[in-house]
Amino acid sequence: MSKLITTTQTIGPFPHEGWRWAFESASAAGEIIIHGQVLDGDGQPISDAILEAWQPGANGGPIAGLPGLYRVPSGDEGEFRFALPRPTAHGAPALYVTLFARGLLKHQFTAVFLADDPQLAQSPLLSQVPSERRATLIAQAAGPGAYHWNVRLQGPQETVFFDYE
Amino acid sequence: MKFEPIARGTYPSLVYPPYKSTVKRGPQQPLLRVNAPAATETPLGFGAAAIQPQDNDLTAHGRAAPLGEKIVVSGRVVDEDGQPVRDSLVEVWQCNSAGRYFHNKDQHDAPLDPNFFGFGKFFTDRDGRYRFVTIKPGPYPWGNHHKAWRPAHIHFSLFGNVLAQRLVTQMYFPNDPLFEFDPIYQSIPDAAARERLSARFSMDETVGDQMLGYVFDIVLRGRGATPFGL
Repeated sequence: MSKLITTTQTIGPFPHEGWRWAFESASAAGEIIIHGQVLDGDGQPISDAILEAWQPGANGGPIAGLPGLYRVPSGDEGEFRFALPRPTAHGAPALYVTLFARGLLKHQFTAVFLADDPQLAQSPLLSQVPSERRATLIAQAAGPGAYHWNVRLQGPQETVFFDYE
Repeated sequence: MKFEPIARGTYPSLVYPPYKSTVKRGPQQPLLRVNAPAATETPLGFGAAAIQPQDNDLTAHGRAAPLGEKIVVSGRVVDEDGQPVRDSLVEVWQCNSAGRYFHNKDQHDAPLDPNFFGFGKFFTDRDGRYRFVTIKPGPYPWGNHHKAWRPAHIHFSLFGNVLAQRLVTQMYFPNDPLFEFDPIYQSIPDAAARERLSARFSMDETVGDQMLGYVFDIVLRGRGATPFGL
């Protein structure tokens, strides 16, 4: 290691115009929907977060030039919604998620798994997470083709955030 | 080879009470170190279709030239091993020369410029280099505390070549007197890490009578002994 890394700063409240070109349409259709809210330490919605989600190896996706990438801003109630093809790889995250927000001085890496993934118990990534915190990474079925997953920045159910080694 | 943990004090303190909105938003559990080859080895595979002509000239999107001081910002993106981060997507966004963002939630009582929107994007080249033209952004108040003014800055979003290299940061201008009063800047414990967020003025990059040049080099995460970068 010869170079010292460039540190991080918040996206602040005003990234939307610059990031909009890659936003997935809120009405986008997909085989599955993963939806939920971004919540702060008081359980209050965070309305100025942006979530990026990535499906490794995807050829297509909603954004020209960015295969497998989904980017959505949270809404007034902290809500977000990803519409995507049903993942074909079992035991792997449905999406690798990166979270950005005003008041979040470093972006946070996490991942979301589907509760009905038949190989969830054998997941190489999920098995590295302490069992009592795994539920924070699992989206629960919420109707046909729909899954519900909240991201919590603090509190007893704080989402597990990763440092990739 | 692994991505090594980053030295303590380099990244900001996620809960930093002088920056009020971190108090309920900064995660409190330590990051979980995980092995996830998809995030560290699988190329993002982003392609040139993401970029349109003139996306790297923020002054070229109005009917006339925007107000303010035209500048050119350039630099090189490398990883911790000094290897170039090639062909990787960079986004930038900023306020105008009066300190006002083109954004429906910015209520600062400073004028919008009908010829400046304040965002752009580009790829690094085969040597990790980038270059874009813009207007020097102004400082602006942000209401965090009495007389809270942000030092002038340009926001950067970099994807790198694998997910673990993702970076969002802010580029500042050298010797800004607001640094010592800005909790977003001061949330970074290590003084040298803070100072690496400042661009440097460059007469070499200055273009004739048109614009002053600033250089901002960026280092993304890397692993020891990757001879060609990621």
